[in-house]
Amino acid sequence: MLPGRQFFPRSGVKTPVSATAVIARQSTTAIRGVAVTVENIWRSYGAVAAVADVSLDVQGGEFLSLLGPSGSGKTTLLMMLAGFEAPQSGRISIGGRDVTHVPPNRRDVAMVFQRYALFPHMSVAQNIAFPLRMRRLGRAARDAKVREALDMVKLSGYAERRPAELSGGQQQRVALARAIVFDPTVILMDEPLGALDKKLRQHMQLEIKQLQARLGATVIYVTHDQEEALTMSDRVAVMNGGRLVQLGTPRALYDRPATSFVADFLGEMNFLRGRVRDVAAGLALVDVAGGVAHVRAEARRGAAVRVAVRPEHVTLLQGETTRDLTGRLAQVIFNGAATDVLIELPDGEALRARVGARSDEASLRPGDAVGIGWDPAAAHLFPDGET
Amino acid sequence: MTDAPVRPRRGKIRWADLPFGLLCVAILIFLMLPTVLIVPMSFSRTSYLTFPPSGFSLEWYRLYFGDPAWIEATVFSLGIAVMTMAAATVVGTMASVALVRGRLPGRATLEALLLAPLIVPSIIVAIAVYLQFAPLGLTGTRLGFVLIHTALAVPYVVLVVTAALQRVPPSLEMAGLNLGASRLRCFLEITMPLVAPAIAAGAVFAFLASFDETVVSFFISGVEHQTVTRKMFEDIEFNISPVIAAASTIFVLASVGLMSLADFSRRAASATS
Amino acid sequence: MTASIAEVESAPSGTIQPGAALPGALATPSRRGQLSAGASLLLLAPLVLLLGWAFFLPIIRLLLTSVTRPHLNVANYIRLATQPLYVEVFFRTIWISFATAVLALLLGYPVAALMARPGGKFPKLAAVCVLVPLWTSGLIRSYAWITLLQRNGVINNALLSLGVIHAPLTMLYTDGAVLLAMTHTLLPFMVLPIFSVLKSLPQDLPRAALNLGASRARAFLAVTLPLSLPGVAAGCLLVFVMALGFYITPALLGGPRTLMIATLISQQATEVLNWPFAGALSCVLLVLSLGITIGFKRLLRLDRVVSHD
Repeated sequence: MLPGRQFFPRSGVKTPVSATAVIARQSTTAIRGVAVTVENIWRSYGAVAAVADVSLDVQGGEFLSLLGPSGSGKTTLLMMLAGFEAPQSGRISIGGRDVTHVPPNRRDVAMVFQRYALFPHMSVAQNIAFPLRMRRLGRAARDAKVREALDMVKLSGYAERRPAELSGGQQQRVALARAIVFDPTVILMDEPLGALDKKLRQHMQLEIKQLQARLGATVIYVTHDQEEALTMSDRVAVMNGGRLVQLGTPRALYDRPATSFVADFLGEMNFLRGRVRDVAAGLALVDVAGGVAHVRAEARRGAAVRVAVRPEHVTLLQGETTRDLTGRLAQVIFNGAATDVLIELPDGEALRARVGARSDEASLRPGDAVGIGWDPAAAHLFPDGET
Repeated sequence: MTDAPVRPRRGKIRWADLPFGLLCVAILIFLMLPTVLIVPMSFSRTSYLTFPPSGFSLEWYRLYFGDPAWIEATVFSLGIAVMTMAAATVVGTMASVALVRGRLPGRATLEALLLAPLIVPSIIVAIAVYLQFAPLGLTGTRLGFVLIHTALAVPYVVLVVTAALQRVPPSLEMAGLNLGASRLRCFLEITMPLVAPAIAAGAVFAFLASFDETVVSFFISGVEHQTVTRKMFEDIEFNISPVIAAASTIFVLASVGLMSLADFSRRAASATS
Repeated sequence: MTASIAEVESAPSGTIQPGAALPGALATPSRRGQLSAGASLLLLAPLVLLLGWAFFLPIIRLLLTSVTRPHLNVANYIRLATQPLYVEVFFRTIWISFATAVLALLLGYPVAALMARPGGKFPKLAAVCVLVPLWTSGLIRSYAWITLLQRNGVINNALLSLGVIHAPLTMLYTDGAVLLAMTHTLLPFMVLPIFSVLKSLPQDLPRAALNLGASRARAFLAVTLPLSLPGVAAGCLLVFVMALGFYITPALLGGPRTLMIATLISQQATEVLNWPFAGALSCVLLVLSLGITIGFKRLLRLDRVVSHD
């Protein structure tokens, strides 16, 4: 499956020219630079805009996730990339070619469906060979590529089975094999792991990622599971209400969320409502919950804001302290790998803090008074009322 | 169901169930008895069924196979049924595809109208069609029979095939398109094989609908050509004899056999999809 | 006429029942109709033309002759409504059809309940006993009843030889014979809708009733029976409407004094040769059948009763 080997014949050995070879010139590793461009795409259903003015670029060989809650437009966008829906305005380019009005069977993208969509009346091998048959590849070449694909997904020997005889995870891998066998420019995945249980899902996430890296394939992956998006992606596009809210690497999104929606959607986040008391030298002092919060951010004095800080950044000191924010420990939650504590603040709001197992914090008990603090650079400030 | 939801073990007899069980057995006997009784009748030595049954004879079968009137009627009916099966299956499948996958205005009314032959009482159809066919010289002709039988049989095909088409997940055709197949190719290679068992079942229904069709056939049978159902009807009214039992046994066994086959193939097909 | 064991075992989907076929029977959620309107019409054309010419046109013409011969009038309908003979036929037909439905319900419900049981051999056996008669033509079944009920028939011979009676009973050519044979013929059409609904009831409901202290009988009466009513209604309507228009059974088993609408129509058409009047009778029968079918369309609730997902 390594493109170099296939398409540059060894000395004296002619590779049969086939449709696959033609398409392969646009194939994944041959693409340097941008593989997919989406420009100002709009799609509405009646009065509801499912996708509103979305633009993004996907680099060749990149793993990009479209992440968002249901109804965010991520699946609609994927369908438009595949050609099953048409945008009402905007452009889509794949492999340098404008495909906005190209029908779905001529786009050279592969799609892995949520429920695999394997053809039940064909064997595994016939399923995988299907796109090669459509591209008129000869029998021998077809068989060879099918075998290669099966090896890649570790299902050699399953060629003659029927989809109904396979487990969910195996069906998933057949769907993958069918998608990679013809070296498409882009592979689209529509929440492919949703039907699997947690352990299997985690295993498959790794396998997909390894496969993608090995092939150098460009993948656009739709999911509502933020953990999945963070673990697998090179970049994540967060969508909400049809709009692209933020596009960036997982780390960038996690450490520097652009809106409170992104802050809340990825990982865990505490939100405290308050008013800015003073700003000096890039440090904002915010009146919250009977105390003062320190955030490294720009703000107007008097603005209504929400302070956001992650549980793992919160530190606690036992007893009444000189810290600007205090509370009372309400509940200890044992999570297995970590321990969280819920702290009740003077105004009734709750704050969640992650406690290290071997620290002094571990000896805190419900009812204890605690002082709360964090690194101001690790906290964020968002306007109150923004979504 | 719900009558005994807390059965301790399958197959264990609960004594409280007994009255219900007996009632059911009685009703099931009621259901099966008439049809089943034909069989020993066709083998009885006497021309009426005695109880206990007397003797065993193939006389009535000999009479059936040896009677040109019976054989000719049977062959005629079979021919009509085969042609009806072919016509109804083709026309019905095409219509089903249009109904399930097509863009049609007023689809609901269309469906209702297409299924009308199942609702309208056959006597009305019979005399109406006779009035229409007679002046055209279509009564008693193969063409006439096939036309009306097909019209009456197609709804069965449409019902079965549309149900099967709806069960095919659209994502399968989408996958086919995505992998590079043309729309027609998708339909032929992906959808049709999955629907084929239903089409076969529909064909069997159409065949039997035609072969068993009695009322309309009675009215449009002619002097030269009559269906076996017409002959049977007349014989029952005027000339009752156990030859009818012999013919009936053959037909019943054939019907049950065919329907079981159709049933079996559909079950096998849905097991793999 | 047609249904299958597979459907019966796993809840009927696409079970075919005359009279049960209505808008919504093919409940298609439209998914971006993939065929163009032109292609759809082309595929539909043969069927439309065939049905139009061989089915709808003749019926419309028949109905028209009832008011246009010799000139535009409603004399036929007036005659139909005022002559006691004809009124009697209508009432008798309605009465027998009603009785058939009731009898079919009493006999059919237990069978449907048996078929809907979760496992074991009995449900399958019951299914076979329901489907085999269904797959047999109505003509043959009527013939079977004649051999059972005739003076020289099975029942009389059995009773005579057992000494229960001393002279053969007259059973044939009576209203009772017609009722019995029609019930037998239409029983599967009562069983299948009820079975379909019963099968789709969640098992947890009667279990909950038992858990809360109800006896099995009470659980059935309070929970299962009310929830099965849509199936019951569908079955009753189906059987009633089919019985109204039945021809074969009344023709073969009914006597000269048990005329029903269908046999009356046939008589007017073939013996009396009064086609316009036959047309008028047909019109009334059609209006009655269609009226009940369409009027109770919601009760017939096809997508729950006939097909099941």
